Amino acid sequence: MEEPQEIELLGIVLPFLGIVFLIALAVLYLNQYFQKQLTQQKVTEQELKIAQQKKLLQTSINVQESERKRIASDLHDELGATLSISRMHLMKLEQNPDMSAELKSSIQNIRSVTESALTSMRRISHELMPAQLASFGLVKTLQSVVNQVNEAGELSLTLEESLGESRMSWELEVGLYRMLMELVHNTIKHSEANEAHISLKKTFNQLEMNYTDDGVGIISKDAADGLGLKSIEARANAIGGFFQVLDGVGFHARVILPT
Amino acid sequence: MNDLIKVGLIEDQQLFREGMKAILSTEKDLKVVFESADGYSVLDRLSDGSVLPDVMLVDLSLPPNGLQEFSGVQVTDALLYHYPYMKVLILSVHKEEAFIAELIEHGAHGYLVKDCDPNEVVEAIKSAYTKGSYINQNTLRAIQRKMKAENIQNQRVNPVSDSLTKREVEILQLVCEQLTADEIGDRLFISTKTVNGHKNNLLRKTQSRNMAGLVIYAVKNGLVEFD
Repeated sequence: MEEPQEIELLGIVLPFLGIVFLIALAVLYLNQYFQKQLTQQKVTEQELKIAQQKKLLQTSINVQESERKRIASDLHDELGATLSISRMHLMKLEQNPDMSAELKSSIQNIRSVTESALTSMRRISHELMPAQLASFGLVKTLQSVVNQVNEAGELSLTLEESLGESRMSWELEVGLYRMLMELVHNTIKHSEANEAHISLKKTFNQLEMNYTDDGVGIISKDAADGLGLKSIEARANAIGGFFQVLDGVGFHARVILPT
Repeated sequence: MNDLIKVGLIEDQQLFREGMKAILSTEKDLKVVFESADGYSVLDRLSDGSVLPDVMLVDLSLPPNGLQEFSGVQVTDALLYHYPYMKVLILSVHKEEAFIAELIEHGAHGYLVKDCDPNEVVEAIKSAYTKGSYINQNTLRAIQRKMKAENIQNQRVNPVSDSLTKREVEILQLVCEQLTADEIGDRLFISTKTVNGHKNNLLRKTQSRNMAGLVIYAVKNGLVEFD
């Protein structure tokens, strides 16, 4: 009597177990499938976000630079012209022979005020955006930076380039100019270097910029953060290139950009 | 008595233009006969009017004509093309040597910075009118520095490239375009053997050991261009 009952039980339990097993398998598989899709989605989202951020950075740099350019040329053309003509009028006035010495010296004072205003205007406008960069390109602008630095006498700066008269896109020229200015500024301010060297080399599809100085190099991590190296890296990334600081004596940085 | 020198002013900044006119009007032998706030309408207005300035003072930064740039450079080109006897003096805020040298290269007869002595402007106008030009210390230095830079640029080109024949340069350029000897032969209608002969000469003349050396030579000497 017991046997058929057992068989009946087995007949019920076994298929039941089978079904449970199948369901468990399906749940497991589906779970894995959804998990995978979720991570995939997250990765895509992340990629999209990074691309978006890069584009945002690029746009904000472009907007900033074009704004700087506009303000610099407005300063130059509007304020520069107005200050210049004031100075000319004052000089004309000074040359009047009937004037008392006292009046003449006050006019001279005003004139020297306009002169220092003109000097400040030139400096501010140049710091915002050197007029030469748009008109004559990176190499010529760097050559005059080199002349200026050498004339100041604190640092001996040299430039080696194989670009000649050829021009790059505006983004690349502005980007490289800003990065180099930051590096030269660091050298003068923090490195105690005597010599620095800029090298720009163009090969078939990329531009390599090397900057070296014979100073103390990067002493600590805090120092590295303070040098604005992060902002240089961000700039290089924004124009599709990469920036690295190399080991060695002194300071050596390299930027590789696609052209 | 001297001739009356007719002066024109092209300047978009009104205060400066009016001021300059006032300063020039105190001079007996100068007369401002023409004024413009932009560069692009100047040619039309000169061809309409009956007066033609002897000396034109031109600002460097002038408003564009719509999207087309029309700065002091374009004005200088246009004026000298249509009125070869007119003297062009640049009067600009920019004192960078690159600007000075460029404008002189375009044919300007002198370059003054706006914050100069007003007497220098008068002197420059008279000098341009009577002697044909006005070159001051800054202008001279800008020209000298530019010449020096150009000399350095020329020296950099290896003198060997002079001894390359036209055909050899042609083949070198095609090599850089990654054409094979067969393809170069087809392109230039010569045999592959001749191409290889030229290649050997190129290697010898440029002291290169292999094709990579040739390409480096071509790049260094500007025989190939990349876009």
